[in-house]
Amino acid sequence: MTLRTCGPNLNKERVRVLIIDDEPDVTLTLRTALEQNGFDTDSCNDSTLAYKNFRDGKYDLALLDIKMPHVDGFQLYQKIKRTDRRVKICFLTASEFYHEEIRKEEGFDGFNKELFLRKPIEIANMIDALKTLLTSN
Amino acid sequence: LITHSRKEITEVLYGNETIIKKTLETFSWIRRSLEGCVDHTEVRMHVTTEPIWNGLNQLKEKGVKLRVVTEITDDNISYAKKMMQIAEVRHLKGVRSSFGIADGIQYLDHAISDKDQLSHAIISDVKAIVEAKQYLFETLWNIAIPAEQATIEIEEGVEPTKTEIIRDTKVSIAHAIDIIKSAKKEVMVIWATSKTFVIGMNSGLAELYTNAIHNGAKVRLLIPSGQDIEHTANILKMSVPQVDIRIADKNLETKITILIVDRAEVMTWELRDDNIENPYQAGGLATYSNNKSIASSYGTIFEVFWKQTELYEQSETYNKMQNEFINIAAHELRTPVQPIIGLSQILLSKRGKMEDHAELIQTINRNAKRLQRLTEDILDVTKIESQSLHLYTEIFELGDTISNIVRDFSMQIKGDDSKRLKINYDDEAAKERKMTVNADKARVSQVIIHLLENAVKFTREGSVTVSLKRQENSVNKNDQTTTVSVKDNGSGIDLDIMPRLFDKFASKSYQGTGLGLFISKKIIEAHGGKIWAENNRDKKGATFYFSLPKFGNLSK
Repeated sequence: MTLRTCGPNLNKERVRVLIIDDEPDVTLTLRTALEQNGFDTDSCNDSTLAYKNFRDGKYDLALLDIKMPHVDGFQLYQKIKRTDRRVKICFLTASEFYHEEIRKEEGFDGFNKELFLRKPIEIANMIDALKTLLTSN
Repeated sequence: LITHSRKEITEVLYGNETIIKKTLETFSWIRRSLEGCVDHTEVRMHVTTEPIWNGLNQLKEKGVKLRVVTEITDDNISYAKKMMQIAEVRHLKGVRSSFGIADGIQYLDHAISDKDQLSHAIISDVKAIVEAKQYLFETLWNIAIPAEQATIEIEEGVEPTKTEIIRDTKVSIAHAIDIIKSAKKEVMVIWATSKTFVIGMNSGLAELYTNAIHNGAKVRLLIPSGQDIEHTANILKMSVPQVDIRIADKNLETKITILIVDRAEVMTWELRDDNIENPYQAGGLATYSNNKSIASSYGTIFEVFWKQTELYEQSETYNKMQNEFINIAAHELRTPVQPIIGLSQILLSKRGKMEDHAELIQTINRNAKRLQRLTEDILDVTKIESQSLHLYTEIFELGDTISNIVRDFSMQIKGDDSKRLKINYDDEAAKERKMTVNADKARVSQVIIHLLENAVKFTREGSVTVSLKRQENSVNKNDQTTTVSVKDNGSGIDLDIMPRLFDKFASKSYQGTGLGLFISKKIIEAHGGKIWAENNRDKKGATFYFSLPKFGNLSK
């Protein structure tokens, strides 16, 4: 599986979002929704590949699933933070990880509550949340 | 009595025969009682010297009251037990005297030389002597213990029992160390609290248990749940892996620690304060007992708690599994909802022809179907787990059913460009004779469809073959088994997954629900059948099988 680019990515004014989710139908949905709302998107269904290939300076925002085979969302978070400190990161998860105490039980602590969106999410709510995140410090 | 109103006499007798003769003469006139005190070596002589033994038996039959004080030992216990059948016997440790008193009026004192031979005897009916000897006998009788108790203790190898209170913790802990070190079979401990156990661990318990295990004893510890307990227990497990530890419910917390060794010795400690790290101060009053019934009763109590902990652990595991199921099911149910909600919202905002949005519509449809399938599967699992999966059985031709399923399936595959796959039905056996079964047709079809889907999922090109066989039991021809197999030449079963193949959510495929094989297994088992799978010998693909009994041991 390769990184798939949707839409032109030349316009530097547009916010560039990387979507990583092991479900192709979910990435299709998120890509379509974000494109429609003026974002540039890349998506990847293979988190191992995304982990290997993530590069500095390519994205403004990463939207990550958590439960994925081999490399999970938290591992990706660490890698992205190490590679490019500017990138804002947001988790979108269908598992119970948006509950803080669940994350603690699983040994993942120290993430802001606002970074966690629960799947399924309405498009408008997702766009609002991402915009808030992008304008925050 | 009249015959004895003559002059009082004391005489000395010599030799075995003379003494026995005189003794039997005495036996002949006894009417009321014969009391005797014999040392431990003489019990045997009385039982094995036939005339005397017979004489004693005759006295018993006449209703003469026979009382004997002796020392019962390992060596004479069998003779003592014989004696106990005709006489009331008491045990007195170390008693060394051999005399008898007949009807309270004649006294006989004798000595035995080697080889059980009576060598000397003094016989007297001097009233003062007889009364003095009678007094001596009663004194010994009163301090002796019943022979029954003594024989039990000897037979069980118990030393004289003691039960004591030990106030000084230095003494009680030193004693505990001694008895643990001397353990031969088992050491059992119920700790008052988890902290008490930690205190013990800090004072070198691990080494002590190693000692006991080295001597061949089994060591089992019951510890109430508490802070850091898993950690401390793991430290012990690492250094002494043979120690069997169970963490019990916190409710087991008490104020005493109980140590049981070989079910023969038991010690208890009062817990003063488990915040004190010094074990000599944390512990308080102790008790020690080597009383067999006390120690074995504590052993029983230990076993009951031990068993109960097993149940506690089982219910913990069950709860954990249930939670895991809910978490996974929640994730699986929510995921397909995202494309349905997201894409339908996008479509609502779009204009143009339907055809322009075919990809989005197909995605919605695919996810809706996936959700439907998941919902059914999760409902099935819930039915299975609440034991309310009902089978609606009928007698039907399994060959026809398979034939229909394979035809429908082949049609579906044709529409999928990504697969170059042929589905075969090997119906040779079914042509020869009818393969009727008594089963739930819809449920059995569900299993076959699932196995087919599974085979297709892991096979990109080649073939999937369904076969049907019937086997007769060589003894009972009515006992027939029908076996269905689904063979593919795909990627085969991952060896990691093999042991959990039929578990919930074991799937390595991210397309399936991970519930299909679990449900299939439960459906087949409910029919009294079996389901299994193996990788093909030629290392290409896998074969799944299930078998149904003809008339089923239908459980529902």
